[in-house]
Amino acid sequence: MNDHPQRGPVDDSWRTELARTWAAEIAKTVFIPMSHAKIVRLLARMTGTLADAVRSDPLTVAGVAEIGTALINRAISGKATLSTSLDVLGRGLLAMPDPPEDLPHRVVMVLSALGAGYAEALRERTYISQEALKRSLIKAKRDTERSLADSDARLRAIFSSSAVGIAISAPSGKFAQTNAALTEILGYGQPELAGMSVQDLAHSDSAGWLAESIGDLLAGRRPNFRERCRLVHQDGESVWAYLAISLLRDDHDQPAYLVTMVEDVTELHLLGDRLGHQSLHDMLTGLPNRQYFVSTLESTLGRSDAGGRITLFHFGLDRFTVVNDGLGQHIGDQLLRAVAQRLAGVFAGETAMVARLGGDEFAVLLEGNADTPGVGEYAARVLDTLADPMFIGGDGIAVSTCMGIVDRISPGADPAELLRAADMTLHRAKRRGAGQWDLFDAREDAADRSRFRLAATLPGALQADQLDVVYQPLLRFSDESMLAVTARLAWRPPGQPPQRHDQLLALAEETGVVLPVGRWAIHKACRQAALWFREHGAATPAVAVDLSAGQARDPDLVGVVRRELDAVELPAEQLRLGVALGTPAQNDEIIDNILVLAEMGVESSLVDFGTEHADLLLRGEFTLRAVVLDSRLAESLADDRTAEITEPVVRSLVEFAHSLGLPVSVAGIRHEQHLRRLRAVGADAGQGEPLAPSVSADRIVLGH
Amino acid sequence: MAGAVDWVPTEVDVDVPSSARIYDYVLGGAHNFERDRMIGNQLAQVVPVREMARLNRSFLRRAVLFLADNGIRQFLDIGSGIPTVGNVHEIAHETDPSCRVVYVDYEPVAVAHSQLLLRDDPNAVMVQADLRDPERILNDPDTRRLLDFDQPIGLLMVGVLQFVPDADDPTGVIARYRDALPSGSYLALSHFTPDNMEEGMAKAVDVFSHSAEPIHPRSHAEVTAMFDGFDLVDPGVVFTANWRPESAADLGDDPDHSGIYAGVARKP
Repeated sequence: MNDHPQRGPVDDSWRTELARTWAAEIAKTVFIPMSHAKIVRLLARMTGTLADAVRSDPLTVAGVAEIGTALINRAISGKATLSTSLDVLGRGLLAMPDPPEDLPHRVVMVLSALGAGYAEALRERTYISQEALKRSLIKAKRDTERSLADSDARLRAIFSSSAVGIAISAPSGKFAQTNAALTEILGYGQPELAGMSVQDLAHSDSAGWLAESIGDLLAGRRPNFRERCRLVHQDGESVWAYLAISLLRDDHDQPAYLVTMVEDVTELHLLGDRLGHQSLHDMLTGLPNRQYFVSTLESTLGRSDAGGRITLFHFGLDRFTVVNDGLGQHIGDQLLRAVAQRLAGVFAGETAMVARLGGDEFAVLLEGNADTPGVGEYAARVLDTLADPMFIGGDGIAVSTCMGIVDRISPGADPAELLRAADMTLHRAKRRGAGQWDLFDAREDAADRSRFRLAATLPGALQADQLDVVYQPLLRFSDESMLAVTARLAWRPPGQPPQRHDQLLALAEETGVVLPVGRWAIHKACRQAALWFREHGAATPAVAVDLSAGQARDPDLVGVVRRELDAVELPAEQLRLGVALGTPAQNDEIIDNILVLAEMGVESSLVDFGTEHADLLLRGEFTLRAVVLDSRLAESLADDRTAEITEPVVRSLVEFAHSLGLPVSVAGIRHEQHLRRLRAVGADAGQGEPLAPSVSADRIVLGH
Repeated sequence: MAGAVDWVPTEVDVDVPSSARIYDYVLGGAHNFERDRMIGNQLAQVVPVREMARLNRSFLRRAVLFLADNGIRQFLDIGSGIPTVGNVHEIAHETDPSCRVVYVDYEPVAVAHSQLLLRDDPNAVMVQADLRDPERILNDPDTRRLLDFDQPIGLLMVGVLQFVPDADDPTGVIARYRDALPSGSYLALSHFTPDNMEEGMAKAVDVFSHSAEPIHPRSHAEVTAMFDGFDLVDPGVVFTANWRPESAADLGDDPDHSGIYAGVARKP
């Protein structure tokens, strides 16, 4: 009690030891963020303070509570920190060397003060921590609110600045909120939109679909949809848009809002239109193409309100290939463009579609009204406008066209059948020459159709060897001697009228078998000629085969003839060919063939001798054995009335032939009077019923 | 989390226990709520959670000092939690006051608290983000402002990866951080394990299953695999207490029952 608090060297050692023990134990109760040496130094100072307090006289615990505070402030405050400390310190202090009187009491007092200070500081610190935590919590909440506000602001920014039109509406569709983009896309002001609903935006062709889709949303059959559809701008224009609508539900899963997004894709739509345009239009002329024309034809015919007079024009330009081949394709293309423009001009002002079907073919679908002129008038206008020369690359080119016209089409008609009928009528017109037009006629059409059926079966008949060859002698009028035997094809198709040689050749020209038919005829004729030649020797009359222009120009004609002759060892002079002339281009090839064949010894006659090819004969570029009078001219002399008119013409033609040293023969002599007239005009030879009938080979009697 | 609408903030709900606040509680802190303390007390009944927390916190201190001794002057502390005592920047500043630290957590109260605490510290910052979104964290303006990715970085993922389920591929996530770090960087990591305390840890998993953050303790092999692409420094992956202890207190009473593996590794 009387001792003054004094720190001697002796005291220091036990204090240091106590501090070490305290540090070791306390560090097990709590993480202390400092090195162990530092902890020991800190606790040694505290131990010193505590020891001094125990020894103080009178007992004073000043500074002891602060040790508790210091521990707390250094976060030396584990769950067991205080109890461990009191335990270690209590035992250590009670064992201090040179203890004062009433030591246990003093230790209890000092440690109580330590505990009180620790507890007070802990309470304080907990209070501060909780305050800090509360501040953190408030900050966190405020941060959250701010970022909610930010996100709300962001949403608002999106809403107001988006290029996509956005609308929030009641489940009924009535707009609650719309953004600027929507007003821009649709042209309505915000106040106007406020009185409207989503459904009001739709074009009539989308309205039903839209209402149904919204119904699906409300019924929960789908959560949202996105479709391209047509809306209507305030000014009535169509707006193509992607329309996306989602339904938002409230906490009770009831429909709360419709969120509508409108993305204007009108430009895309127009681009799509342009692409569509390209697939529906002819690149060269810009006119609708065949597909477009056909689909328009289909929709027009399918339309119940198509009450007017519907007419289909089918145009085929005359001799367009001459332009293309002669002047070049680029000129041909320009010509087609010019024709397209002129045709479009003719039908401007009518409800009509002018289309290019391909190549040199155009078509017009005309929906006439009471004021629409008749088809004849339109045909004349078309020919007139095309007759006006078009200046292309410095050349003035006029074209003509043939037309097949199907008029007064009934709305229920079959489009494919109509196109076929127009095409058929066009070809019938073309057969009559350039610049012709024809109206579809059901009867003629039926005839054409049966003809086409025949043409279609001809290749099969040829392959099956179902064609016959008949023979008819050609007799000289002066002495009735047999100059030649003409071999002609004949065909008896089942259920069809028999086809004569010229009919067969015409049919063959319309199918792909024109050359095979000609070669087949030559083949048969050579075989028969060889049989007769073997039997009758050099006196045997030659066998003649008539060829169409298409056959006569066959580049392989010379080869075919040579092979057939060789095959049956027939002398060339025993075969004769009757050749028809055709277009100027064909004629060059035909004349080449005639010249080479003549060198071989095969002579040719011109079978359609009339006024047409007089100039060719005059040029004398090729040699002929004879000419056969044009069948129409020859036939005209069979009838008294026409004979009177044509007799002088025929006579002068015969004279013309004779002046060139060419004998004139005639085929198809009908009767005695006909024969007499032919003799009278100077013809040299002929064949026909009055002279000798057409018969099969075995009935030909030679050597008379 | 990645790819979610990240401008919609996480809600603050004090009724949901938070691992950050539970950790604070078992470390002796007062930045926690009743629900956190309840979970903390339940944990204490099944595992020596206070000792585990203390040893883990102690490992963090030694790891940071080790990294600082090895020249690391910038740290990325992911899953930093409630700042208590011995925060990374405080430890690092013992070595060099110029050390820079970026803390990352996604728990809003921890974030707010850290931000208040770090308000005046120019060398430390708190970033709110989910660790499963490395790109978000690595490219955060604050991260880029404080950390120089041309210099080695100490990546700390202490006591946090057990909250990431296998489905979120924690090893893959670490690899994405690794790939962003320059050579010479370090990874310090600790992770809950059932090794040596299977029964207790199973119960702890059960306790955590009632919180918002279930835990996924992993084996020694699994934790070691997380260091893929790094070179582990001695003594490798060990219980926290056995990682370069400096005192008896660091070792605790029973180092082999620390319940948490720890390791430090260097990116070559």
